[in-house]
Amino acid sequence: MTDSVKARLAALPASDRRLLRAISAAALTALALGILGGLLTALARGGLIEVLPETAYRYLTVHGVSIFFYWLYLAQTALLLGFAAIEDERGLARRGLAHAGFVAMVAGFLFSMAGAHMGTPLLYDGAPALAADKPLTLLVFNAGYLLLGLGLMATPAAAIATLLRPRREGRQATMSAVGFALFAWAGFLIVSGFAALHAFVPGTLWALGLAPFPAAQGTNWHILFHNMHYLPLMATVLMWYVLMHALTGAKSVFGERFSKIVFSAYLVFVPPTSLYHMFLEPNPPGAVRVTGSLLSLFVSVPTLTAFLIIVASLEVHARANGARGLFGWLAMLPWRHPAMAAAGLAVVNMALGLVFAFVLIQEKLAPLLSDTFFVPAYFHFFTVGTVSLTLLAAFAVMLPALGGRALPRPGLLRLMPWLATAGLLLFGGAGVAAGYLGVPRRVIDISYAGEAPAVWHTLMAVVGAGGILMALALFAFATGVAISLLPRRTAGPEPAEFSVAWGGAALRPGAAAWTGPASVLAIVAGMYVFTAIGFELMRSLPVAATGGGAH
Amino acid sequence: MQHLTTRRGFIAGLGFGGVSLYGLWAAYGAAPGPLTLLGLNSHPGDDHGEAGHGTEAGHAGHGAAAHGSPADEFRRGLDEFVARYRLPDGIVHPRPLDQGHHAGHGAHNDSGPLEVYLLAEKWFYEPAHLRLDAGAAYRFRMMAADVSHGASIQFGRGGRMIRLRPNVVAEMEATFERPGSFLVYCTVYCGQAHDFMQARIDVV
Repeated sequence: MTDSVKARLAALPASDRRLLRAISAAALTALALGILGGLLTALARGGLIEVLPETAYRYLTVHGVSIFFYWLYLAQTALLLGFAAIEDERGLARRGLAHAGFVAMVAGFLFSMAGAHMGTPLLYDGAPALAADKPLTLLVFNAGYLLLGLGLMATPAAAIATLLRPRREGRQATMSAVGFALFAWAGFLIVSGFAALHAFVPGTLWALGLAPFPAAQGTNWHILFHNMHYLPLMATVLMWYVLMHALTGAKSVFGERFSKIVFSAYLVFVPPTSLYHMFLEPNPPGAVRVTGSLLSLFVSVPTLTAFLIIVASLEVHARANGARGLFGWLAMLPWRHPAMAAAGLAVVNMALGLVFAFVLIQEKLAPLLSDTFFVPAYFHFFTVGTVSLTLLAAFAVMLPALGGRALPRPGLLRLMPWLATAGLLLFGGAGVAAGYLGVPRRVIDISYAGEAPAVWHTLMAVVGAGGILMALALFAFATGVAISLLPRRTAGPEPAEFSVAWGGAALRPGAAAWTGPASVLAIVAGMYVFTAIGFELMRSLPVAATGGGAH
Repeated sequence: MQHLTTRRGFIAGLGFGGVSLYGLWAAYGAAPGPLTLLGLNSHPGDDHGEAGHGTEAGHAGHGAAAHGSPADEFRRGLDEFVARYRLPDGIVHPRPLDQGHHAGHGAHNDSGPLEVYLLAEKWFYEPAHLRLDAGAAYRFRMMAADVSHGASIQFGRGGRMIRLRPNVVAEMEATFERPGSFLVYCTVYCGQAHDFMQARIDVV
């Protein structure tokens, strides 16, 4: 590795390294459990195992809760603390706060898993109405999320204290772009913690007999859910920024200030774009739906801009190191490092996720698509293909540096992101088609007593096959990364082909970087095509329908 | 000299690439046109064309006045609706009737669409089987009784759905353009038997 990231991680105090490895181990455990839940759900939904729907919904609850809440948030916490700690050579500040937050999150995970196995399966959103006759189930389930919320407020606070310490002590004049982005990320995590408390305290109080039934949880959930959608994307692009510098030595050619502005843009563009989650609700008036759609058009601005900064910077550095042709520079990236393979494919999956996400932000298409399989099909491109692969890529760099044990079988490991993406393409491709054709999400048996169209079953079989491939490949990759947590067995330098050193070469004046613009053009073209398919399908329906408002 | 593709302004502008999808929305009439957005169109309605069949409509009346909460009113309307239009085979077929009913819930009104009631409850719809006439205008009045449910009418290639919240009456006006038999299923997870919550609409 060309960068000092590895050296700085290795030089952290032993107690910091122990904490980071413990949080990482908890995150990977949540991921493994979530993958198992997802695999069983895919098998049940594909008709490959016979279980009662209630059992399958329990699998789905374990899957959603483990991955969407605990894997994503424990992993973010570990990476946030790790990269914040190396911004200051003295390691973490406020270690007690970091430890307390971690303990709360792990305890939350245990409560959530217990809640998932009690009463009616509540899925990951834990609608209180489903547990109206079983308050104990809701109490246990919600206790998990409340502890997670508290952990999400405590642990990032330690990261913020770490990032501010050098300035407070007069050892740093200006925060680096990475430090600034970590600071914003920590703030976002704290807001998510508050949002979790805001959503789940009322139900908990009701379960304890201290408050009326929480009729408004749906709205509070949407606030939390929107944060949960976009916060991991900010973490993802920041990790790309850090990883590409670590693996290639390339720095942004646009300067640190521009990067800071773009990272700040998440704070500007994410909060006002949440209305599209509510397009199918009976309450919002028409003007709110139209405004919600228009605002949602801006939701990709920070992600696309950060993507362009990273791609253009890499391309310019590669050209300075001899790259030829429009896309020839891509072959020069250090693809032999499993982290590069994972991060590179995460970029491709993000493009697909953005294309399909933009179909869903149009309020007129909500009655066609909102509660169909289109939704899980699109968000797996983000959750698995983009965010999880990126977080695992970051772990593949951080964990060997913390423990000194190299990644096992890197040749095999770097194939896993490709296999996971292949599975995702099957899962997502068939799932998007199924969504257009009306296959519902969150249904295990889609036969409807033989009344469902035959093509639904074919598409769900492909979804199941893709899901199994995706799950197994992701599990194998995560296992490989987790092995680097074990005590050191082999020491030695990292293979030379694991990185390139582009940082030292003089950049060529006037060098072009067309890959980013071409990618954005392809993404926008995809948005046009898949949105037009939705409009045409709406037009072809044999019904003229209007309305949907409530009274 | 920096190439255009490595200039900050170019990169920042390109980051707004997704916003260009507005052009397609406006072309399909699914978003207000640019003149309306800029406040230059004196007839904003002109720019609100239909996206397929999905334009928002106003809600024209709720049948006869009734006492009690909207949920109570809904249940009374549902009972009247089913009693009035139930056929011997159990299918409910709302249609203009010749007998001299007073105008009330579910009654046909020459100036407006016929009202159709649909209640969603764990884990069934009431009525579970509707027969409707192709080309006739209907106003669906729908409500969930216990927990959140949904209703999606499936047409084989795509469908049209709505979420139903407990004790909130949602309305949708619909005209079926061709005969067929269409599955209706619940779109919101509502517990153990969610998979089996379905109904049917026959359009004749």
